[in-house]
Amino acid sequence: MPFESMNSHLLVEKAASAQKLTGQNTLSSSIPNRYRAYGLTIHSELLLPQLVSDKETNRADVTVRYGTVPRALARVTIAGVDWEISNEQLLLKIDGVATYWVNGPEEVWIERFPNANDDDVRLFLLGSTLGFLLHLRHILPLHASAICTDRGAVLFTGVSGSGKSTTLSAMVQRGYPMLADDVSGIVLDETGNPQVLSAFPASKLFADSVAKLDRSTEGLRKVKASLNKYLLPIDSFCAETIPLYAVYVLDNRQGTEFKLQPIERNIDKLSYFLFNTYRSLYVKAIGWEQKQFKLISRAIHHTKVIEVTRPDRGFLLDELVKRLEEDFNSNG
Amino acid sequence: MTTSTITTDTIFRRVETVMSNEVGDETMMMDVDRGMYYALNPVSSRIWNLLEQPLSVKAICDRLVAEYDIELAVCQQEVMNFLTQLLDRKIITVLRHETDTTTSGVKEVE
Repeated sequence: MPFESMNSHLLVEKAASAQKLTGQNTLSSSIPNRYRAYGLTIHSELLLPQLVSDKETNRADVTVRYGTVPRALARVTIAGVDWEISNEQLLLKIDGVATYWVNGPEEVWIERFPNANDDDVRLFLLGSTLGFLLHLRHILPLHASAICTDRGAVLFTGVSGSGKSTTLSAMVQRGYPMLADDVSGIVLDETGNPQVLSAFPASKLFADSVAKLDRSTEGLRKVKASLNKYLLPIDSFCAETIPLYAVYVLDNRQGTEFKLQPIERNIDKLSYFLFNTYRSLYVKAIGWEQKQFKLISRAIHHTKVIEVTRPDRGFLLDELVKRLEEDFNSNG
Repeated sequence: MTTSTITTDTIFRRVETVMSNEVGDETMMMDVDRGMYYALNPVSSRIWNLLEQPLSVKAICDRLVAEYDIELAVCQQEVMNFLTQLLDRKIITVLRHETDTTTSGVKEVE
């Protein structure tokens, strides 16, 4: 065996803290609206029409109810502009919409502002609030959209505006069932292989992206009353958990031509998973970094990660989709 | 503690707050306290595995020369360089300096 030079590669600086989680038990309920998302049964007082309905399961993993929420949390470990976290609790205050209180992995309470729009209330429930719940349950939320292919789940990640949702919608038009938009939930199965959980069949797109898909925004529900972004219902949806096959990182630095570059080094793959973890500050706040690190270490060993650079002349959706499709259908 | 006091007899041990996971034949490491991540190649991973027990450079190289195609002197130099890097990043620490009467300037730590 050759004796390679021994270098340790420095990667990212990320403050860490360890905090023990405590278990909490809450009651199931007789709440009428019952759904399933990310492998969880969700019983909600707020109607969530974009979620898959699940009338059969009586036990709720998560209940969403209206009530009075705390003004502030005690012993806050980390806080942002409109949120704070203490142990297993999140308090998220969206002015003019609602205050959301996650009290452990099973309970969400919502206190609405007067005249708040239902769509707006749903947006932050299914965004940051659900993201926090996934972290609490040690489901890795990757900021990625996901489709189901013959080879397994294929994810599209990248910074906001890089085309995750647009690529997803185009792939669905090409016949690949959708698994998730925006946030893909990753867990390890009993043998340590990464699996992607089915989320819900709706995609969030800005009006210009809807146009790229040759669709009209007419009749589409807005994600937020004040935003030119729409909920595109997806008719081809995969409700099963699918083994993770590949992650494409959509780069918004544009090159001169299309380039799909497979990432070889594990440290770079780890880096992409860490940087694209949805609401990554929550990881530290609830102290699951070591388990997250273990999950990612297992996931990258089994997953292809490919960097995608596009030419600097428009979005070129058709060409992008063709290249991606060729890549994940090829042997290698 | 400076690295200038390090010899091939110095006994090193892992820092407890560094977590490691094997990914194929590499090792990924996370320094929980400092929030840093590192990757070790296969040979480095082997050294890290050997350091499950506190060991000196001499003891590590006794094992490595049996497993790899490497001269002892080269091995000791490379391992010393590598461990110095780990020491600088506080991934390992000095357990003790094996007292060697022929070496001056060696100080006991802890």
